[in-house]
Amino acid sequence: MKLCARCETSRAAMRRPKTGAALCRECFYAAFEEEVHETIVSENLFTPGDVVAIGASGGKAITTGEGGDLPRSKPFKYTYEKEIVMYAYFKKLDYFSTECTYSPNAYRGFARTFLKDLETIKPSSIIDIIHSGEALHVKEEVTLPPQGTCIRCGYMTSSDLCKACVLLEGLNKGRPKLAVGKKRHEERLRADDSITDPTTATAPSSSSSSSSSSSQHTTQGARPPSTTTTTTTINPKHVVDAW
Amino acid sequence: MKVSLEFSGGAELLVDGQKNHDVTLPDKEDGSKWTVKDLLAWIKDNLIDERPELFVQGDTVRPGILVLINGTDWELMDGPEYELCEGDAFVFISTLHGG
Ligand SMILES: [Zn+2]
Ligand SMILES: [Zn+2]
Repeated sequence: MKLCARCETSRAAMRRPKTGAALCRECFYAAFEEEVHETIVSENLFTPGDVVAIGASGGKAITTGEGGDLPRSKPFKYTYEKEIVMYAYFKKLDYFSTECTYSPNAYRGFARTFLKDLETIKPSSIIDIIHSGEALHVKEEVTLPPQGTCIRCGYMTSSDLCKACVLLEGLNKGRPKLAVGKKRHEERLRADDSITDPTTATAPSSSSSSSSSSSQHTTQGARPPSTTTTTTTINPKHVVDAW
Repeated sequence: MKVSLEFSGGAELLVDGQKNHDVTLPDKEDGSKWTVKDLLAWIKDNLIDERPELFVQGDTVRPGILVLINGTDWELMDGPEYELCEGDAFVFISTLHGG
């Protein structure tokens, strides 16, 4: 049996991917909470009085609130997934994950698998990528397209249909060029919408059918035992995105 | 030898959606001890109906699946080389999530 590197008295329960240190449960909780707290404070994620909705999910599953442009707070962005899951398991918090093969965003699974493989070789890979992402900035003279929501699945997009829906539709129709092709194709795809089998749409219908990006809807995850918990009685100012 | 297996975080979807499995492992033909590596192969052959590649990869679990042995991270317990004892409890948690 291995002793905890921090208190040196209790039995170690897990090895932290971040530091390689073997910690007991209590010391791991303390270290984990301190670090998430540090991220929240140093990045000013919240201000006193803010209403916060917690959603342990990603993507469109937690799009909620007014105007569709809620700030996504990511207090766990520097936290290793292993630690988030271990924390949830030890604390007996509900945790569920699945690769929904029917989700319009399921192609992300490939990228995740790739990242997991990288992580096996070098544990800091993901943190390194996040760091690089944060170092990117857009030149001031560049105008960004306005952000709206996909008319089919409700996910954020800069055009009517998000890339995932365009890609999926293209693959379903044997026209993969749609995904990388010209606007013309996307327009033709929208014209095709009326004949699309509605059962192929996996997003909840309450949000997928709306074409108005200013209308409001709460999209819950399509996965039944989802841990997504969204406060909808009040308008939250932030959505905490665990992943 | 009897051991208990728990699949969670979505990993249970690979084993009939059932989280807990109490299993009895047969003695090995060569008389050697069961290791976690052997257990993974047994799970693949006996519990998983389809897409075993979502669970095992070579001699180990697929990256992104966490393993606990008697409540402790298997990385602290020899990982796939750990030798099983009667009554051991194994937990497999998927950290791969969709959309
Ligand atoms: Zn300790
Ligand atoms: Zn879409």
